[in-house]
Amino acid sequence: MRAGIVSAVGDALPLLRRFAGETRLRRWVDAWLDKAPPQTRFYWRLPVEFAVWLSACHSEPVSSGTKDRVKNPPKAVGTACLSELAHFEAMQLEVLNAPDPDSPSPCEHSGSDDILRAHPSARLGIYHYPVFRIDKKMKSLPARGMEPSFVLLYRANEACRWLLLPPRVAQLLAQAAQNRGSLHEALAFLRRLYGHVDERFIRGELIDLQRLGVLLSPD
Amino acid sequence: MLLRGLNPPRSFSVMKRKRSLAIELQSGVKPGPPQSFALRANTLRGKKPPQSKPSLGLGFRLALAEELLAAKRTRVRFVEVAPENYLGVGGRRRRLLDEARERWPVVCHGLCGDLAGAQPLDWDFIQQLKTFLRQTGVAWYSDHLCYTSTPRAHTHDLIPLPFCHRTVRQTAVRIRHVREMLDIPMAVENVSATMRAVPHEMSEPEFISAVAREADCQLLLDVNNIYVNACNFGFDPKRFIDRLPLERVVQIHIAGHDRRRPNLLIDDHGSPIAPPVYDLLRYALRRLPQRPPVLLERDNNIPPLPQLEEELDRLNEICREVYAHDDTGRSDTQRQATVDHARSTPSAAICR
Repeated sequence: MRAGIVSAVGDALPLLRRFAGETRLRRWVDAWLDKAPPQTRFYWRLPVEFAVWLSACHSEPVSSGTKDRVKNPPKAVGTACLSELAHFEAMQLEVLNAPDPDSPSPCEHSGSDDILRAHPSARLGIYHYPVFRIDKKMKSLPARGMEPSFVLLYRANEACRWLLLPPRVAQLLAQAAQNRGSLHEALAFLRRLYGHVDERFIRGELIDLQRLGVLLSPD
Repeated sequence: MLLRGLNPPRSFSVMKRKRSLAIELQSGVKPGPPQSFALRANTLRGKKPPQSKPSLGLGFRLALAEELLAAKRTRVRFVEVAPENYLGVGGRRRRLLDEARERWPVVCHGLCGDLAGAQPLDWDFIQQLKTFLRQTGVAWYSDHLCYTSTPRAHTHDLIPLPFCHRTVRQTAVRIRHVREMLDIPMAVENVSATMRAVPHEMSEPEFISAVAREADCQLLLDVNNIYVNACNFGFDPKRFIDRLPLERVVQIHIAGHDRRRPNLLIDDHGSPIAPPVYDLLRYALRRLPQRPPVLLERDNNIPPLPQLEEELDRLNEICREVYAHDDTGRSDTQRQATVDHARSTPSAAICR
């Protein structure tokens, strides 16, 4: 059973397998199965559960986002980066398999107080290492970034794509998704947090996200 | 690390039922208006005139899906999917399933229904499953006769059961509950194993027969699993088949296995069907009073489609050979006697 799950995780997270190596991957999967065995009945979600567990074990703390710098990076830099890589690859899997939206039409920005409704595939991640730039041709893991990156993953034409978001736009999206609020409410949240928000800039960013299909039209 | 999913999963969009799978699988005729379970069940159980065209299917796997859908000529007459791979899923995976449904009848075979488990049934999951089965328009639903979860986790493994009276009772009750909830005929598949659970109060065929009788469910006969267990535990696979309630078989699975040691076989679905398993299929087909659809399972080391088509060709030859022998070698009286036997079992109705 374990061999099958190690293989499934490795197949689903090929960059992790490549950079961590089979032995370390197997050790991690063993630890995961012992300490936090699968709670999902869906086989395709096993790598996601594993990656979330791994990143929870090894990730660095992230505060509210902007101007956030970790003063004491962990000693096991490779492990921290790999856990973020696992997380990023697992999120791609989630994005690819996420349900389709009820009304799949991306649209033009249509009003000032629209309810923000994201495509079901959209996911936000914050990464200290530029794991989203890792590919199979790279020979070593990248160095830690100066600041965390806010990465939006989404599905377009059945492929997973990502883009970097300005921290405040990312926070606005996350806040809106959490509270299912309107753009107006989300902007008010940011104002409370930062005092000043460039509303025009953020609206422009949201229009771009709508064009990409990440934000959906109001019902 | 912070991560937030922006939206919760959504339910599938409603899809219409298109065809009566059972009719098409069994007789090759186009379906008419929707039929009751009982009528469809009767079709499955050999009451239709015997057909000479075998119903051969293939497990629908992502790695093979594009190639299979693009194939203009194929032996595949139906495909089988695991609902767990499609519940709450969209994107390419969902699109491929929809395209497969356009082209072939689909049967659904569960992976982790935990039919014989001790954990409480997950009614939310069963409700999702019911919706999916209705959307897919299947005639029956099958899962494995084993347990798959523990108090701590879903094991993603098929754990063999102790062959005892208590397990028979508990499993039968559970299958009945699930079937009532799903409102569809159910079949259970005999599983392979490398070790036996205890206590051991009866043989495996006796256990399977007792569960099928008490649950009043159908059987999915996996001939490779029988062969694997026969090698692992040292019994005669033909004798095993003889002792099963064959009139309950609605579908057959066949696959390859991995021989780790001379007496240790693993049902890994990762290699071509072994010659003795073909022979066992031939034997089973000769013993069956009906002509159930036969499905080739391949989950690992998936080869190009032409190689699988060769295996399907071989299966086709075997089915035709048996059917021809059946139609010519047995008198009408003998054939009718077999069918009558199938009808007269205490649990003739598939679904109540």
